[in-house]
Amino acid sequence: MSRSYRRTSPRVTRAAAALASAALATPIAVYAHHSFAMFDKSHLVTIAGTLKSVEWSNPHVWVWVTVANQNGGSDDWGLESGGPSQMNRMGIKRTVFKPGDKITVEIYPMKDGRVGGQFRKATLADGTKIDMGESVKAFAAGGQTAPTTDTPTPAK
Amino acid sequence: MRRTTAQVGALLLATMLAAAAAAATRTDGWATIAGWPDFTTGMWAENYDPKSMPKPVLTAQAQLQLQQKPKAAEGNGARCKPLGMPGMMMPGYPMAFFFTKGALFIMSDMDDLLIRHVFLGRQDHGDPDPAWNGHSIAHWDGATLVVDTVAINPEAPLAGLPSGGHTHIVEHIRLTGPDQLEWRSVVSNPDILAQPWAFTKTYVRHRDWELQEASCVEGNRDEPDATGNAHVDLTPPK
Repeated sequence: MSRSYRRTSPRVTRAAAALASAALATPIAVYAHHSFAMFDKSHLVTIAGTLKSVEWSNPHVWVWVTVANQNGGSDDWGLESGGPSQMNRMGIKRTVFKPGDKITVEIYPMKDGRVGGQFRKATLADGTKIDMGESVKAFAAGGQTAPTTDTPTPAK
Repeated sequence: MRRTTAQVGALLLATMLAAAAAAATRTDGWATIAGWPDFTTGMWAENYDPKSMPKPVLTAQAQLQLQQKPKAAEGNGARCKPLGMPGMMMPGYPMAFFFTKGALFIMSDMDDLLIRHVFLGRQDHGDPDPAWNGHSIAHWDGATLVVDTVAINPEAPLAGLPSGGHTHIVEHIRLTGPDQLEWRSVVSNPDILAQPWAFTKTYVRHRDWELQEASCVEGNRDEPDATGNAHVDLTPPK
């Protein structure tokens, strides 16, 4: 198994990880139904590919992204996100994910090296940005943050 | 003829009075409930503030158990088991309250809508079977609902450990504003806690939120491995 993801620069990685940690503080531990110990939270990884499907089911939403690998083939990356009710209450609806679209995702990768991880941020083909950390923070503060749309970012 | 009319009249009157009495009994009950503080409109989201949450003071035995627990060991949640009490009131998922005659039901988006039953007006617990959310009885102290809970499932977690079945919780729940709710709780458990664990949480009302179904087993990919450690099923969907 080979990976085609790019690792963000150490400086950005540390800053992003710190930001994500600060944003999430412990809310993610509160909102999650399990430990997330299987994910490596020491660095963020960016993957880009095609949105294969979304399992909009409990207890957690899974986003599946097909990513080209270094062997000329592709891997289906499984990315764990929040629960459907959390996502809805954060303003992130299931309809925002459109199979077949290009997508770029920042994730905490699996510790065991398998192709998967924890969904942190995403930029969709139409420029919509999703930031789970900011959404969780807003949700914990009693509000909600819907995905934002700005200038489309070309999928890498 | 005159006698028959009187009899019919009496019968009609008796029927109407009986119906009115029955209706009065029904409406009386609801009128009482309608007079209680409005916990029931909308849903309540916790103002999550981990810094305000005091850490429980553990017994020496509980500390040892925690130290010996593998770091990657998963809790009940990954197995889709209920949180139980007091976790049921603490996951950060919004809650809904429903009053009916003789009972309050508390539900959240989490825990597969496992309903917490709080029996109103009961003087004692009796001898209930253990339950994840325990057995709760409550009364009003002015505008504050005072809830007493025992008989919590020994497997329900407390401070990261199985509670062992000796948890006792006293809660005081009240509105502090039109859309603010305060929940004070004191948790006792001689096996786990060296002293009662007292904490206060606050919630904000979302009047337009609706309860959402959350069946954990429908798509759980986080079932722990054979050793009980964190694991995830990454089999791609077809």
